[in-house]
Amino acid sequence: MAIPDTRHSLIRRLVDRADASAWSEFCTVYEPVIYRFAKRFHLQDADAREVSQEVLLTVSRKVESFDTLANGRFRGWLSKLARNAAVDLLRKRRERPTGGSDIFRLLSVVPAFDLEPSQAFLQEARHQQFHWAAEQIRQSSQPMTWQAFWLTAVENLPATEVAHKLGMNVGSVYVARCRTLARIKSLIEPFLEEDAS
Amino acid sequence: MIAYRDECDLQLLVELLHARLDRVEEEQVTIHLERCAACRQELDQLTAPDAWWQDTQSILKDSDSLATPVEIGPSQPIDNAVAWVVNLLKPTTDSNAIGMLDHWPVREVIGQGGMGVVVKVWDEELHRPLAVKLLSPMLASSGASRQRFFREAQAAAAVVHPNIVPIYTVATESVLPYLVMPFVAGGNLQQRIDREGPLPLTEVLSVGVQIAEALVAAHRFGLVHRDIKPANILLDDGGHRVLLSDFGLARTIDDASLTNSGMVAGTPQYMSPEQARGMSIDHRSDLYSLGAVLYAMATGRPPVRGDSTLAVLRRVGEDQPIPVYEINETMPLWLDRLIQRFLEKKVELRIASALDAVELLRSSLAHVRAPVRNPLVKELQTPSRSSLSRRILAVGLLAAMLVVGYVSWPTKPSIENVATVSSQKLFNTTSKNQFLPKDEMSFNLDIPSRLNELESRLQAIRESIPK
Repeated sequence: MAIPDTRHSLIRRLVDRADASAWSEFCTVYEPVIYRFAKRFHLQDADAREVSQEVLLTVSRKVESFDTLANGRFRGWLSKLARNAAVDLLRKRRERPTGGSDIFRLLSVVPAFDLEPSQAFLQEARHQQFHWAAEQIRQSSQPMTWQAFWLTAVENLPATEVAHKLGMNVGSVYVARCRTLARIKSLIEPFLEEDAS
Repeated sequence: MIAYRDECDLQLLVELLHARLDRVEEEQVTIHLERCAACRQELDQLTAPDAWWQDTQSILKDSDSLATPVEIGPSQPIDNAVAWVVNLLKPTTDSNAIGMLDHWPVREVIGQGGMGVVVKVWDEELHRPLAVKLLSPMLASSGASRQRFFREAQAAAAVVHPNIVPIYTVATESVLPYLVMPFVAGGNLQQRIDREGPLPLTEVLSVGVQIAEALVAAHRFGLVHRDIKPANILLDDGGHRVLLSDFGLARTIDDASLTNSGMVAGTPQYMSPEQARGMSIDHRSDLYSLGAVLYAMATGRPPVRGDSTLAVLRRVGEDQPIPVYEINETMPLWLDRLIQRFLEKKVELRIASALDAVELLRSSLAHVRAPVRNPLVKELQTPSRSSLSRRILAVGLLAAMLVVGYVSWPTKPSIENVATVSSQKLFNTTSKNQFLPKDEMSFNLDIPSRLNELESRLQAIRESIPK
């Protein structure tokens, strides 16, 4: 049985421009994803930032017309936008000073474009979603609860050892561990529904 | 309650996971979990499929910052701020300084906000401390943020007002762009509320007047502050004068460039509902925020609270704040009505301008200081039911009595007439002498301000007695 999720799919909420919290959530998670993805194209820091801003702006302009059926999955679309923006910028930057052959050399070191959606992008997205959601929950967790979760679920220590260390009983360690992941999961799920819609 | 339960029950595990059990039940199921490995495994499965547990481990394992639970105390962010600021400074021989920023010896880091870090420097020429606000390096590399930073400087520099922090200089060519402002010694309003809790009524109103006056000046320039909150209200030494700072998010109304992206800018707890929803806003959004600040001063906490930014955003515009006097019973009832003029969710019903706000707050302050000489403005007085509705009530009662009269004496028309007349008479006298005043009384529970009033009336009488 999954944790019931009353939140709507993020993408549907993005279409509703009035939903500021959806936008803030979306940007918080995807800006670093696009940034790190762009850095894989050997872009400078400032250029990678430009790419992430440009992609977010494009999403804000076009999300209304985004058609799940025609364009496929949302993250696929996003990764395509990011890749195009990165390659465009790379071209712009490299063409003028060095020209010719250099651009081909650079483009050839670029990670494979044809994976659809780019595996690298999906990994970055999953990574960022987890970090973001974990941080949200950490901020609102009791220190003991968080530690019980962290030591058992992330550091993989046995529950008995953690219980002893924290002065809790094993049952409470389990409750803390599971409730915390359930909360993290409920924050990540709206990002995944994008693809299911 | 249920009997002691030491058996496997899937439904109870589900309830436990969702924190839907009461304390006793939760304890019992937890004890059972302690003994039952099968149920522990079951709970893991109920939480999430294996892939999630694996990702939790592989994705989060290298994060040191996430490993540390959040402890209460604000020291953490300042420490980080110190680290990167100090790295940027040039060494100095001045023992009072932690380093040089251009030609300024930096004394200490005094704060950190959304846009960057504020340090205190020493102005050698004029022998005075100054506050320098540095744009954070993360933001300095982004064109949009740089622009926003310079807009802050331009916006704030354009408005000269005793209740707005002036901008002395803008440095654009330095490692990081920065603004130079006077150093305001009394800290900010948030710190004061954290330290002392709710403020006295006169101070709530006098701080309100000053902020409203600052807004009159800013709004005249078409400038909406967009981020009015206690942390942006600085207190002069002694705390008598307040200064509105941080026009970091302020921009002229017609500049909608960032609003279009739908990004939230501002502090949700003090944000107007229209701003929280990312809709277009005008000067009245600031008036809402001012109302939220008044509320925070009077009660010690913001009108909307939530665990996270997102929770707050969702609640702005949905919840009705708890009345001020329920949190702080020393506050008069009319203060709620005053604050409600600002916290009105519908923009068109909200107090219309900063100028109106100044007037309302000023007259209320005058009332508190001298209640007899300065009666409370009409709109804040106890709501008396309109005489019209009173009349409708009277007519209704009369009609009811007539019916009763008629039903009681159906066969004796002459007596009925008498009864009607006498009940009418009876009713009229009751309504004038007993019924209505009683009704009025029930709406007049404004005891603190009544006491105030009586006290000053007494004072007035004392003074009028010739010695």
